[in-house]
Amino acid sequence: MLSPDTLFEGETGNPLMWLVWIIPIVIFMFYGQRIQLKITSGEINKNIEKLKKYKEDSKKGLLDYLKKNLNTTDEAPKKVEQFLEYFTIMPVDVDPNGIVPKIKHLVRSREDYTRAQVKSLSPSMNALELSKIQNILEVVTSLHMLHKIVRHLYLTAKKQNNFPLILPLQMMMPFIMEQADALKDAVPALKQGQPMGDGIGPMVVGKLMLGTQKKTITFETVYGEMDFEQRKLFLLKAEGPAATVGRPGDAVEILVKEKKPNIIVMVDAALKLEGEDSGAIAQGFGAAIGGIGTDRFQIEEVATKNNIPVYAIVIKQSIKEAITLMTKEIADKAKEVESQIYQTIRENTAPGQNILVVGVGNTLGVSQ
Amino acid sequence: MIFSKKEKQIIAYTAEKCPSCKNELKRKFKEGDFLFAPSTECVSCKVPMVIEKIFGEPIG
Repeated sequence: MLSPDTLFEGETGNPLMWLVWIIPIVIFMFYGQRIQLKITSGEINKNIEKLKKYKEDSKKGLLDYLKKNLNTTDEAPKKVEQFLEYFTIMPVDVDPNGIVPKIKHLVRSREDYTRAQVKSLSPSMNALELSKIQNILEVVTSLHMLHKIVRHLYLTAKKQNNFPLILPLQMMMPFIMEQADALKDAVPALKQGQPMGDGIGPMVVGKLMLGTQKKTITFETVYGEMDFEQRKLFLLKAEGPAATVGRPGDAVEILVKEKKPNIIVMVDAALKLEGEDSGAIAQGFGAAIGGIGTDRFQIEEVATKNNIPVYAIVIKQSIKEAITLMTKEIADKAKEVESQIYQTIRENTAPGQNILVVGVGNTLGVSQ
Repeated sequence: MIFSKKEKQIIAYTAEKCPSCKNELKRKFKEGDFLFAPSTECVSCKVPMVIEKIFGEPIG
């Protein structure tokens, strides 16, 4: 029979075997955290190198594109380098009342300035190329920022030998890398002017707009009118095939004032949860629009003031699918989304009423 | 890594449709293609086909 006394009988008498047990225990007691820090920081360091590579590659891609297609001035690399360090100071939010117009003003000013600066790189640049460069520049800036923030957190933790500080970074790393991978893969689609997953909303509405007279309603945003079962449809989207989301907030405000729609139907891409199918369609209520929130605020305000119900139809996709070349699964859903728009209109309006249909998203490669 | 996946190469395709005979054609994407633009001529109707879809598909 085994007893605790006899279990290690052979080894207990040997002091060397005692050391074999005790030394690792002592090492792990005093240096365990440091060992773990070394292993974790090695992994994070690898990802920082990856982020650096993504940033450098996308920047090089942008500069090559500028040189090859747009005959830019010799100052282009210096200017691009400057763009990467641009920052925006958000308004004070201690008293949040009236903050949205301030954010809108800041974002618009930044957009206008960037547009003017990009345009100055090559006087021969047309509107389509300008929008593409602006989008690629945004990708490079985002990758630059991700790299800088991750490196900062890593170096701070390392400098202070602060293991708890590196833990949240380790947990966030897969999400950061997923975003960085998506951004890196967005560059080829942007360069070639291919529609992205986010363009499914403009794609559906753009198809409905074919054959209608297109009118510019606000900056880079167009609308058309069509009849549907004795109802009047006002179709709104960003002006394609440029890489722009237009100004849906302003456009909806103007159209509500002028055309007095009875309902608003918004079609947009939405981020799917892990486990959900790409291209799955869901219906709901509220303003389906992403971004910093100013457009959504504007649409919600005008809809509430005028008592207009807002219906949303979203097409689920991952972050990567949203900003890279549209997948077949998503493109194939266009027809189904179109019939869901019609169904929503039939169910919620009567003949003689007006309906505003908004295709939200980046309209790169999608005309109307 | 046990969870790492090998990235598949994505090829961009353009799907065109003839507005009169509804014949569909899928070809490789070429720069300058965009949705709803007139494209190659329909073999049977001799009218320009319209780009219906542009999408990426993994190879292999």
